[in-house]
Amino acid sequence: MTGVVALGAPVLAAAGDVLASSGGDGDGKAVLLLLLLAGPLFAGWVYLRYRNTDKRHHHESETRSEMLDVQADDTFTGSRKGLKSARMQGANSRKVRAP
Amino acid sequence: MSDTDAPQPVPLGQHGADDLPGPGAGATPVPGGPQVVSTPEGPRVVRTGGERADGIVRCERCGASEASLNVATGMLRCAFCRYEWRTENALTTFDLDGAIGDLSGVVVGSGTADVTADPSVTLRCTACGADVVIDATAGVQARCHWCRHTLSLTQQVPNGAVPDMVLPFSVPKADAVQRVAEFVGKRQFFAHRRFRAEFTPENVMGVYLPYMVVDVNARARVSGEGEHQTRSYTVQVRDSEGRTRSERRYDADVYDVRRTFGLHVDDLTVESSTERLDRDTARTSNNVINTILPFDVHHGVRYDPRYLQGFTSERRDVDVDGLRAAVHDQVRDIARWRADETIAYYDRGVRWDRTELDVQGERWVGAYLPVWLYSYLEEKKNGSTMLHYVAVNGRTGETMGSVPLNVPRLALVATVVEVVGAVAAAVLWVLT
Repeated sequence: MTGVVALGAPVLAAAGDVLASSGGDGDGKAVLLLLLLAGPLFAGWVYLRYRNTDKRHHHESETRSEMLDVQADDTFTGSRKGLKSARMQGANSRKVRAP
Repeated sequence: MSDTDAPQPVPLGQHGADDLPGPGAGATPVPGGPQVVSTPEGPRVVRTGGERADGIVRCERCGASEASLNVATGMLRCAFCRYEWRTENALTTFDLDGAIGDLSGVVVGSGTADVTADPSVTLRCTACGADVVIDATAGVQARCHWCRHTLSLTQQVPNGAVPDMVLPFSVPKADAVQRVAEFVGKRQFFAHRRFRAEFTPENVMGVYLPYMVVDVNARARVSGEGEHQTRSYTVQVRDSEGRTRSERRYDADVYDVRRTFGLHVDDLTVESSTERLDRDTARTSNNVINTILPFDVHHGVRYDPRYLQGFTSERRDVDVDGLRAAVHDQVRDIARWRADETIAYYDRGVRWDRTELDVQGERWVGAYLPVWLYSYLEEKKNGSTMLHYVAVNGRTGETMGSVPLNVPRLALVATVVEVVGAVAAAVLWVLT
């Protein structure tokens, strides 16, 4: 029960802060959604903290490597206007693919 | 997104790597120091076994057969005369640490030979003549049941039990016990009731697990598409009910992006036992053992079974050919990761479509690496079992683990949290 109280207070405080600062319709809906999903989110957080199923060795960054003789060959191919997302769709330069 | 990574051919000198025979093929054991054996069509095999025969390995000073690792000093210590000595560095001794840029073709330590032999080996005790069987799946040493001498497996019979090098423990057991206790201590409230009752961190065991340590000299070429933002602005949008709202819009220039570079990968470390390679978290918690990588493998010493005295070891059962594809996949990840340093201009991101790898040389070394393991077998109500580990890196002390959950308690608390969240949402809904 202590955990519930400890979690509930900051969630409500954060929700109030976000609503007070944003005033935007989208932010308000996001906070409501967060509160409505509080139970599953809490369970998922505890599961990962205890079971650590998301942990792995970060071979891509923790392995010593050296890059030499870098050659860049970039070609302008066109422009895109009126994009809705701040990030490129399908950007994957930080995505790791090896298991 | 199209990713052509997996099916791409990987040139390796004049021949495909997958066509090469195993490291042990065509190689003949040669006594003495580092020897290099190469076959016309195969990899260069560096002999790391040396001239020692299986059986009694004696103290250099008093001749006793009992010696073990002194974790505090990292040296071997005779159990009778207390003499301590250090084994030579494996990579330096066998010239397996040369410049990666000079690597050409495939170089392997003889301890990576394809596993073809039976794990059980019969040794004749050189003190009394008795025959003693060592089951290499369980360890590399056994005591003669007649004269009580310790017999060791030192020859590189191709059964995966004797690697090229061993990295001795430097984290003492007391330290490992404390780290395991601290790790679990922070995860008590939702821990499985029986796990909490039976938790005994003093039961942590030192295990030498089998790994392959790989150096790769490659030329990498990554290509894809990148976007650079040129403008950001706000527009008024009318929805289906006729109301207007503000939305953000972005303009961007698009580029074909290519990077070509030499890539030297040093001491890439991969598990080489089938059991540890299974990282399906629904079945195992092997991922926590993977998490405590990397090790300072450049401090590995020449294999000596006496380093394993007092610890357990796990036999390698996967060969170089069985690991090559996974290693190349990891090298591709490293290539993309490094290429990321060169694409700052593309502030909206880059989508890599192709990663081509031209492997010019690679070097494989078999190693036993030290891990402190606390294990707990969870028996579930449906009859299935799940083995949970808390693992401590035997060199760096890095700790990671899996603690079984008290699911009913978690469900109860999560339900309460959900009710509180729903009430808070209702209040906010009314207020706004």
